[in-house]
Amino acid sequence: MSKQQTKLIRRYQLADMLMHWAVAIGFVLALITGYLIFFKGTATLLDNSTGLTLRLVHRIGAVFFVAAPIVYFIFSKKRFGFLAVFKWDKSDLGWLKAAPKHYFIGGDGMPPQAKYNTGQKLYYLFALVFGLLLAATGFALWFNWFTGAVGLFMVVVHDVSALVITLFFGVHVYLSAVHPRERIAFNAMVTGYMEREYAEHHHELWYNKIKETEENTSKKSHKKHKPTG
Amino acid sequence: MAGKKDKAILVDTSLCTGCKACQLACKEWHNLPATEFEKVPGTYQNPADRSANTLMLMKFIEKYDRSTNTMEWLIWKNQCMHCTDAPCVAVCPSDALFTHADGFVGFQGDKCIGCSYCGKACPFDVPRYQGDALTGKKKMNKCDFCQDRVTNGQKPACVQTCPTNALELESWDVAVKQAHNRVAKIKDRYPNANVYGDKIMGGTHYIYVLTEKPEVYGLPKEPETNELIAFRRDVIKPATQLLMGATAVGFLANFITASATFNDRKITLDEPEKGGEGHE
Repeated sequence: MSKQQTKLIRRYQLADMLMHWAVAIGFVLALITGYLIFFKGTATLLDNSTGLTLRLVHRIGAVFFVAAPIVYFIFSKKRFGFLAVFKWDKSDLGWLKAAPKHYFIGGDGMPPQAKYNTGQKLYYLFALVFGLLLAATGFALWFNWFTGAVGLFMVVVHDVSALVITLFFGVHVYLSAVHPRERIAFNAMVTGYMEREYAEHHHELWYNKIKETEENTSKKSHKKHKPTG
Repeated sequence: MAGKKDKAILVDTSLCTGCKACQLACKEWHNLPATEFEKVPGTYQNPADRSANTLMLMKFIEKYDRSTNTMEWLIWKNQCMHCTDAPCVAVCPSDALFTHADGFVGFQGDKCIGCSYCGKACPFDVPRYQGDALTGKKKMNKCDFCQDRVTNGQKPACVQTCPTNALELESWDVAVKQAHNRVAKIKDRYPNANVYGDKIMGGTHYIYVLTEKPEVYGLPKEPETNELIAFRRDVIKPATQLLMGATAVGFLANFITASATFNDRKITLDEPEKGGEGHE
């Protein structure tokens, strides 16, 4: 057990994971039901009560998608953690340049990354912006706040936001659960722990910071333990 | 444009007496319940607006002209106009709204999922909804041109019941021709008389002889299909399909190259190929 613990490093707390998976479940529910309606699935496959049920499930998904981040924002100490997505510097540009090669055939030259790398920040940023747009237009459509041209505009913004967020969601799922080398990252969001070597390699800046605090605390505890031990 | 052999209902407001027999016949044929009385001050109009239970409504407008000291009583039949280029049909995601073989906009209530896109698209503000906003279990309802009767060679209930021949079922070109003839005949008494419906939305399947300008009735002079509808159909939908497909192909290409690359190489991580399966 202790051997395993030294191999692993804590990346997410329970609250982080709950928030992530609540949003994920809500989003996937809304994604499936939304595109079924968008691509006229109710016309060709189903009708009547099935269509109504799809729209109900879409709403249930939407509530998860919107409520989870709100609950997280109210109760978590890391509520302003999302602000990290607005912090950009030159190393991000370097990351974007090196990324395609890195993810296809492997390549070096990726600048050292903090807890979230440039790609993750980019995804988070898009999820934040277009998620807010989706939620706002979604509620406008749900409660029929606008009729006529403004109402149609809401539909169009909802469609476009859904498309953008779906594409980025695809990249997110692919890289974190399917990509031959990166899929190991999936464990972190399921267990809360990440392998040290992976962390060191992919999130060097964050890993160094963690290691520093670990060393400090172990020194302290070592000192404390000395007299008794 | 509307087909010449399409069916059309000709409404001559100069012949209408406002008896509301059509309004009642509509309710009866569609088996819709009576609604609560709504007083519209100074008129015989009831209820105030159409609803999912009142698909057509006789509207009453009293126009008083002080210069000549005369009163004009404008009565007109308000329901779906049955456009040829119907924006509601274009946006309906469940094909509940469709263009009938006879040209008008048919409606299959079973298929309606209550998305209320049609209400946003309609330039005449026709669709009305009934149901629960919270759960979204809504149903639209509108005039369906008595599609069941018309398909079986009968007249729509309103036309059948009209006692003054203010309503007539004709083929589309005959209705338009007749409407222009009527306007020519009544021009002396109604100088503003005009034909409404033959030139808008690709030709509506309700052709009106109006004694006043459309605006006086609250009808849009030049109703149009919102450009966003074509944008959604011709740009957003194909773009969504294309981009989703392209992304999927990209993932596949990446998976193949990346698998080849990273499986050949000894990777420093322990058992990366089992990484996807969790520690649960």
